Amino acid sequence: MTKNWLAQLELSFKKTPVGTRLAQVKRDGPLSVQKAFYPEGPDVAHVYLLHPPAGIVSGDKLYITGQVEAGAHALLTTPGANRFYKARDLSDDDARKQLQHTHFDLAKDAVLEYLPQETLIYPNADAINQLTVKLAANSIYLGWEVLSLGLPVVDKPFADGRLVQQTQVYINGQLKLHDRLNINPENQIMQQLAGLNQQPVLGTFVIASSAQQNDVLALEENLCNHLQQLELAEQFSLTRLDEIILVRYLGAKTSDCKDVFSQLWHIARATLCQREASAPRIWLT
Amino acid sequence: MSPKAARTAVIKGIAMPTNGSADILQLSRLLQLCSPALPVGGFSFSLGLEYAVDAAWVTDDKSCADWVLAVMQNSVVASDLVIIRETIKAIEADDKAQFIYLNQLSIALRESKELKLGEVAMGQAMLRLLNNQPQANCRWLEYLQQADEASFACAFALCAQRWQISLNNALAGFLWTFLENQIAAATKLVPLGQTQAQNLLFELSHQISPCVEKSLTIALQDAGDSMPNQVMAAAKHEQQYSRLFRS
Repeated sequence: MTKNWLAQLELSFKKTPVGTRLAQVKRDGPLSVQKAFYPEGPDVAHVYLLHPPAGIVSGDKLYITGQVEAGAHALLTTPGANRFYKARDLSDDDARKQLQHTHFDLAKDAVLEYLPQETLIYPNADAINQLTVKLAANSIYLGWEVLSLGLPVVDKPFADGRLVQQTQVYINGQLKLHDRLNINPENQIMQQLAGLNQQPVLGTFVIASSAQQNDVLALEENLCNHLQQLELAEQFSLTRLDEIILVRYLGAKTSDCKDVFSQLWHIARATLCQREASAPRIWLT
Repeated sequence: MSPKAARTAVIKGIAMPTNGSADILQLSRLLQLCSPALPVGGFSFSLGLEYAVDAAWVTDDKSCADWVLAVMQNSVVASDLVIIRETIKAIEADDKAQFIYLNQLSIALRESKELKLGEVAMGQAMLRLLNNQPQANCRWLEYLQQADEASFACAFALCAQRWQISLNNALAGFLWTFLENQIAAATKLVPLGQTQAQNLLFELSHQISPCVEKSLTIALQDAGDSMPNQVMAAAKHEQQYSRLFRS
């Protein structure tokens, strides 16, 4: 029998006189992080989230919590794709389902960048992937999620799989975005034109700032202009819900989505954080 | 019809006036709430359909039916209908905090600027209308007026509750209004002929009852069921060069 993981990882970032520090790591199970490192100086702590089993099977429950304290700035990424494997054929919901819940709390003046590699949802998976982000006043969140459904590279569609992908953003305690995608064989959302229109890759980039409203407005225009010039413009959309800019991709290639999200990230970082972005080196390996 | 049989008819969602004048008044209220003449502007929002036609995804009555039905069966059922049901429940349970949360959730479920605009502009228009209605003017209406923004689905639920429209009838009425607005938009956009449009309504309204039933099985914590391409179409509509609709 496969071993099921109940894994927890709690990270806490603190601003100190010598820059942002990864002040606390609590872990239980296979999730872990290496030491923070500082490719752009002491103000921004870069951290790689590691999950050595490299994937989530039936019965697994992964909880990742990140607390970014007042004035701290953290960047989280992953060295490789996350995977929700084929679920086991069990009637017990709890034993069959595969859960990852990521929760971030940003205190006043905090910045968090959450830029993981893509998440592969295997055919016949039964995945629940939840993300909750809570922003206090004057904080900034830049985070994306790139989902690849089925195994498009070998032409295997996500025909019998199930996925619930939920993103919630709270600003100053108010729920501002509740985006819940629910794909299963019964509702045919994968095939429907208004649904995923048979496209296997869906990307969502959330840019939220409870800081300067003017910055968000200017950024919306800059990002929009950038997107419109792209050859792939048709596959992307952009909208703004008050303090939250939402960019989406629906198409066939994770690399197309990640390339463009990365370009937009450079623009967003420069506008909101007055910092130049450079791709984490782990993305290049 | 015995009073018990009359109640059963209402519970089963058969919108049939029984012999009581109260029933007839409820039916009249439901018809008024769902009428395109209700001045909330539902006809001015295409909810992404205008872009879908512009992109030549929706080109005729068949593709229009597919688009509208997919949106209704998924996001309308799992977001609007669940919100309406839970809002009525919150009023009846006298749960102010839950009522205020549902209004917030209902607005947070709109995934583009214009989808949200439609929800709160129609919500606002509904509040203005209810303000002059002694039967609807209650503290629940005040809570919506005090919120930063009011959701149309919550205001609709408030009307249904105050006018004692049965839950099934209220949900069916909401879906009918959705269908009528979408097909009216398609009539202008695709375009469809008047008879073609009416035939589509005859066909699609068969799905109202299964949709109401499906919504009753969806728990509040599972509300949502976003349709990615529709949501993206609604976002792209913001940049569309020539537009007849506000979403």
